[in-house]
Amino acid sequence: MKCRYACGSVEHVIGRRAFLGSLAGVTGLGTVGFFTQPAVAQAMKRQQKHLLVIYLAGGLSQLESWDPKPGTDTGGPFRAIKTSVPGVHICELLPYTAKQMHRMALVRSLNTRNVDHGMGRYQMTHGRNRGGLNVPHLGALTARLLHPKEHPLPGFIRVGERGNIKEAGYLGPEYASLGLPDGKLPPVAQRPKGLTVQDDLRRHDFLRRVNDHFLARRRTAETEAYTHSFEQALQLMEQQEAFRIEQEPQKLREQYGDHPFGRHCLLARRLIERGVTYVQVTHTNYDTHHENFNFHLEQLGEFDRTFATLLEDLASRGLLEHVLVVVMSEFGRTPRINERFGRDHWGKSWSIALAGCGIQHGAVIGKTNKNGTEVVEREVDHGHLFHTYLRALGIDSSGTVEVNGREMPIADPAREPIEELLA
Amino acid sequence: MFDTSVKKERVLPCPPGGEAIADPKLPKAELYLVVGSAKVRPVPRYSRREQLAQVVAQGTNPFLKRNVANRLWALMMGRGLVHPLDFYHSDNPPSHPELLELLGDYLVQTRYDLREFLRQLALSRTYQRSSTPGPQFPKELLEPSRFAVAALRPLSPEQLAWSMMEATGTTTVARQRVRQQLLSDPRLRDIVSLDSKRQRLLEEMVQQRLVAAWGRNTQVFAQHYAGPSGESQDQFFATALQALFLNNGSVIRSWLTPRMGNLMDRLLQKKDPDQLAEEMYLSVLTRFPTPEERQAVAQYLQGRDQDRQKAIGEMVWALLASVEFRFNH
Repeated sequence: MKCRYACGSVEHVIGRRAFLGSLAGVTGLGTVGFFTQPAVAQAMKRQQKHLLVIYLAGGLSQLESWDPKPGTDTGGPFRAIKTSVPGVHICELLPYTAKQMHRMALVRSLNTRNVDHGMGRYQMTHGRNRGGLNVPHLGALTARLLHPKEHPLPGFIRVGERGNIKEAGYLGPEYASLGLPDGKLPPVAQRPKGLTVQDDLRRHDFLRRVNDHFLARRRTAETEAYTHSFEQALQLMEQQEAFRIEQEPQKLREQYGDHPFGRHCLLARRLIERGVTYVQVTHTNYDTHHENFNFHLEQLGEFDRTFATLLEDLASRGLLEHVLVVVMSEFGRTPRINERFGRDHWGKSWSIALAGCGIQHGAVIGKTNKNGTEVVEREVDHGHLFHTYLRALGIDSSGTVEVNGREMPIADPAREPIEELLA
Repeated sequence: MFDTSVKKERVLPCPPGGEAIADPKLPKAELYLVVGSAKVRPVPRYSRREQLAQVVAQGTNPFLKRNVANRLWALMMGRGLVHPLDFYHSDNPPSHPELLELLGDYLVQTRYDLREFLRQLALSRTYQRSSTPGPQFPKELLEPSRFAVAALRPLSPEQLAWSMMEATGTTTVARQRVRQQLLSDPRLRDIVSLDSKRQRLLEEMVQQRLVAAWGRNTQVFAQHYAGPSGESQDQFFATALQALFLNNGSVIRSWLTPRMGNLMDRLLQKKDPDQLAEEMYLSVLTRFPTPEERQAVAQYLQGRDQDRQKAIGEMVWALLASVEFRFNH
């Protein structure tokens, strides 16, 4: 269903959940140890780090989330509530998330100087402004730097979105994402009836021999990518299990929420648990030019419980020490409330949230003024954040990556990490 | 950044490389030569696009003619002199600037005769080079921008689809059926039998019907193999999903089902493995198999008498999925 209220951007084309459905069945959460599964936690002893990005498409309002300004001309109707970190308050639309604040950190002083959806999406996931250099998406970059080469699962998966073949930039499409728009492996990943594994492997052996004949004479980056894609496909078919959230306990599935975002977050955890390096889950409909408050009540109602469940689940499995979780949008929303009770695009003073590995838990970086119209302390932008994510994952963000014999800086050399945010 | 406090100066329309041309001020009633309606295309008295068309035809703008030349070059050679095609700016200079200038000028000289331009490219030594470098070939000349070895050019999604249909004999069978259907009309049969020109017209009709009936298969391929819409499709990429589509998709499977006269049907009738290998390689890769390949085919068929059809289907699939089939070489 197309949303009639918003500005007509692509962020709105995807259907939204009914409001009542999202609030139905809210029950207690946060019982320590509820999710504890020591066996799985043991399996996570490895050193591999992961990045889980929750992308709130359209532009989450910082005022209805991480940087509330109640009682001011820009504050809107909602209150601020206490969190599990003394002195840190967030919007009352996030009661479950508030209880997870001791695992999280906030950056409240983002100025990205942009109000365009496409540019914002690019900035926040590439760490630079769109320009001449074809730099890779954060997912492609981390897949290249952190994902074990022979891992049967892809390094970069988007849940709730299609993959984008251009996003790997100069790293090449090999590092582009596998997109799972409806949170499932596409039907084409299943062998049809009548094609047994044995038959299939046998013909692939024959295929390799046929290829060897050609490759002995001419071998290029393109031919390598082509033959590699078949090996990837074979491996992926062995990994159907990783994508089956039906195998999760019913109770846990309820906690995550019986809606696409809930299922997608649960899938994300499953994939990360099985070694995928970067997972991006999209939650839509934050582009609230009209009815900002109703929309945030609705959307965050769905987001809040799922997100809190996700952090609790990751923590109880011992995964949170290995996973950096980032909640981001392309920009924030105007402090000024427009005549349609909406807020418009705003890049001048907004916030993001982080959780998990490599960061100071409970930290709040930067400050905006009384009614949120300006950053007054520790202004940062997407470039600083990009460095910070990489460092939190144990990567030297001032380093380079080799592309066709050239050393390319992995993050904007004109920026540096937010040191006080790092653990 | 949208800063509404700064009033922008009004910018006049300006053809590439030329002077700004102010739109003439016409009274509203005279704006159109033909006033448009739901079924009538409007014709304006003054058109900016027409101004642009004149600039293009004059050939005085160096960037425009070179850009057109570069794109046509890339179409033939698999890579632009300026590459990627959409990065035409001073930080991305052409690999052979003199050549590009020459090509741009030639385009204007021939009044943008694209057919003639492409013909010249096809006759060039660059185009006719082999894609196989040979054992002693200097490594630095393998660099794609040197054009010393012909590039391996991936088939476009549409080319890939039609090539697979042709290789599997799918279109051969369909073509015959369509031709028979058309000729079942006695009037058409009489007309066609008149002369060779009308014979060719029949073949065109057959082709049209074939494209109409089978063209939708190209869409499935485009979904998997095409780049994002609106972007120049000049970057090759291979994904696991493409491979899964070939591996498990129903389209390819249906083409590997024996039907009267198609490749699988023909191969099933070849009892001698050597003849089978020949027919298969000629049909799919348009070349004879090497002695080793003949042996590999015979080996593959060994002990597969019970499921011979399956074994042959597996081999044909492998040839369709091969690097050799995927790239124009």
